[in-house]
Amino acid sequence: MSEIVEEIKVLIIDSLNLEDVTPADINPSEPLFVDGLGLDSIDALELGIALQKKYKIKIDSKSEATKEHFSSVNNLAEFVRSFNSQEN
Amino acid sequence: MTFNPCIVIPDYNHKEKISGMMEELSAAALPCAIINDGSNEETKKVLMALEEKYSWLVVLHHEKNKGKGVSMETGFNWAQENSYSHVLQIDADGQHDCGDVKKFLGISKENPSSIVLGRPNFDESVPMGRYLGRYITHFWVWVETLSFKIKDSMCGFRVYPVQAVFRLFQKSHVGKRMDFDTEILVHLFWLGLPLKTLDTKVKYHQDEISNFRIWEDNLSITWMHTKLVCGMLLRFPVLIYRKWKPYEIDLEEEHWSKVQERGSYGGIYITVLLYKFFGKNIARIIMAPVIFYFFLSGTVARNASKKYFKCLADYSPEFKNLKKPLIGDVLNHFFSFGNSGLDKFSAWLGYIKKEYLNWPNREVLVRMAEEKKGAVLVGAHLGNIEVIRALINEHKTVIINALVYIEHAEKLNSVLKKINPDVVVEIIAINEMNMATAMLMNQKIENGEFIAILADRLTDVSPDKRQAVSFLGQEAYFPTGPFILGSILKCPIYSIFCMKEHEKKYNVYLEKLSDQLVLPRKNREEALKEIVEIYVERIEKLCVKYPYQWYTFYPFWR
Repeated sequence: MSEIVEEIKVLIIDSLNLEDVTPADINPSEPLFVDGLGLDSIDALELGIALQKKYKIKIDSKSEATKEHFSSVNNLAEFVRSFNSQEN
Repeated sequence: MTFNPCIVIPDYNHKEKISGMMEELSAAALPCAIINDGSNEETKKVLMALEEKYSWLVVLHHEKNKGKGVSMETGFNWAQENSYSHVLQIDADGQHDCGDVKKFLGISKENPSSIVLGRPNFDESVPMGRYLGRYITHFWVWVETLSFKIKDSMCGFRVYPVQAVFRLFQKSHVGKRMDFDTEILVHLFWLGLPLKTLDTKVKYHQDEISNFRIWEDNLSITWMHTKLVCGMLLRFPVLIYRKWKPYEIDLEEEHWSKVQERGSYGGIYITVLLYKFFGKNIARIIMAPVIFYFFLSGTVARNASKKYFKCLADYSPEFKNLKKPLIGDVLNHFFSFGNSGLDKFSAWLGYIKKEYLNWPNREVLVRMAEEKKGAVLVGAHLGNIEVIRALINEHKTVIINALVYIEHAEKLNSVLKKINPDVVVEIIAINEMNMATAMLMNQKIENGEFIAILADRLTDVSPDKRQAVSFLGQEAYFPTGPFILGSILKCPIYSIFCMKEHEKKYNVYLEKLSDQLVLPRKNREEALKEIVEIYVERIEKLCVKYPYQWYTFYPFWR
C-alpha cells in the first residue's frame, strides 16, 4: 500500500510539473485540491489521465465517488489498489 | 372564469378502443360527450351500451357522416348549452393516452385562457407516410402563423376554452373534416389565444381503421393550407406587429436554430431524403422563401449580421462599403448560411467527392492516423467543416470524433448512419468536462483518433472557461475549454476550416496551433489567451477572404 502511495506522489509531481515539491512534502492524508497542494480542476483532469495511463483505471461518467477518490493521496492509492484487484 | 371542463370525443366507426377509454376515464367521471358521426350499426350499439353504463356520458348522434369538424361543432354546442367552460378533445381510436387527461386539465386550469395542445411522442408504430405528412403540415403552419409556437397542429388531444371557440365560429369558417384540427388552431392563434404545449404519448394501432381518406383529405388539406397562407398574407402586418411589440416579449418564442436542434431527428432524415429526391436546385428554390421569412422575422439575427459586417468594415479597408451594410448584404449572408445547410446534406449523403477538396496538406492528417497519433482539431462556425467527411470516406484510418454540446447525439448518429452508412463521424455529446469525459477522450487520442471541436462559441458546459480577445477589432469571448482539453491530453492541436469556393471546390485550411500546449499553473490564463489569439487571427483572415461564410447570428461581441 505504502508503495502505491509513494508512486502516486511521484506521479503527481511529474505529471503536474510541481517544481519545488518533493514526495516528502506531500502529506498523503491532506486534501489535494484547493487547500493542501492547491491544485485546480485542470490539474485534476491531468492527474486523472496520468493515472489512467499508468494504472489503466476507469471511471464511470456520473460517479459521485470520483471526488472522494481524488480528495487525497491515500484515497487515490486505495482506489487504484481496489480497482486493480477487481480487474485481476 | 370558473373552470368547469368536459370531454368531447368525435367518433366515426371506432368501436375497438372506445370501451377501454371509457373505463380509464371513469375514474375522473367528468361530463363527457361522444359524437357518433353517422357510424355503422355495430359502433352505434357499442356507444349506446356505454351510455347506459356510465351516468356521466352522453352520446349525440349524427344521422349521416359529417366529418370531424362538424362533430366537434356539435360537441362545442353541447358544451355551451351545459355551461361548460372548457372542452377537452380526444380521439376515439385510442391513440392517445387517457392517463394524460388529468395533466391536460391541470395545465388548462392554471391557464384558463390558453389552448392546451398535445405534442405527440410517437412510438415505433407510426407509419412513415403519416410522419412525412405531419412534417409538411408543421412547415406550413409555421409559415401561416409566422411563428414556431404551434408545435403540433394535428394532434387531436387538446383543451379549448369554449368562449374563444365561439368567438371564432362567429367570425370564420373552419374545416369540416380532417382539416379541422389544424385550421381551428391557426385561426385561434390569429385571434391571439395563448398556447401551452404538453408532450403526450401516441400509439398507432395497426388493427384500427383510419378515417383518413388519402385523396379527398389530402386535397382538402392542400386547399386549407392555400386558404391559410392567404389568410396569413392578409394578417401579415398584424402578425409581424404582434411579434415585434416590445412590451410583450414572449419568452416562449423559440429561436429557430433551437427548434431545429431540438426538433425531431426524424425531421432531419425526411428533409435529407427529400433533398436526395428533388436534388439541390429544387431544394434551393424551396429554401428561398424559408430563408427570406427568417430574414424578415429574425431581428436578432439580422442585427447580428449587420454588426459583423460593420466590424469587418472597420477591420479591413477592403470592406469599407460594408460600413453601412445594405439589405442585400445581409440577405446574401442569410442565403450563404442556408446554402451551407444544403452543403451539409450533400456531405452527409456523400455527394462531396474527395476531388472537390483542395487540401494541400491532407497527408498530415492521414500520416498522423497511420502512425496512431491523435490530435485535437479545433474548428469554428465558419465555412463548412462537414465536407471533410469526403476525406474520411477515402481514408478509413482517419477516425474523427465530433465533440458536441447537443442532447440526443446517439439519435443524430443513427440518423446519419442511416443516411449514409459509409461516412462515419462519431458524434459525442458532452454535458460537462469531467474526469470520465477526459479519460474517454484520452482513450481516443491513444487509439490515434482525432477529436474535433468548434471553439468559437461559449457553451453551458463551462461558461467560466473563456478569454476575451480581439476579433475583427472588437473584444469578444471565446471558450478556452477545447484548448485546455488539448493540453491535458498532451497531444497536438490543429485548427481546421473548410471554406467554399464553389459547388465543386472547397479549400481546407489545416494548420498546427501547438505541438503540445503547456499551461503553467502560474500563468495559465496568459498561455490560453495566447493560443486563442492565434486561433482567432486565423478566423479573421478567412473572414476577410470569405466574408459571407461566418455563421454566427446572435450578438457575438461584448
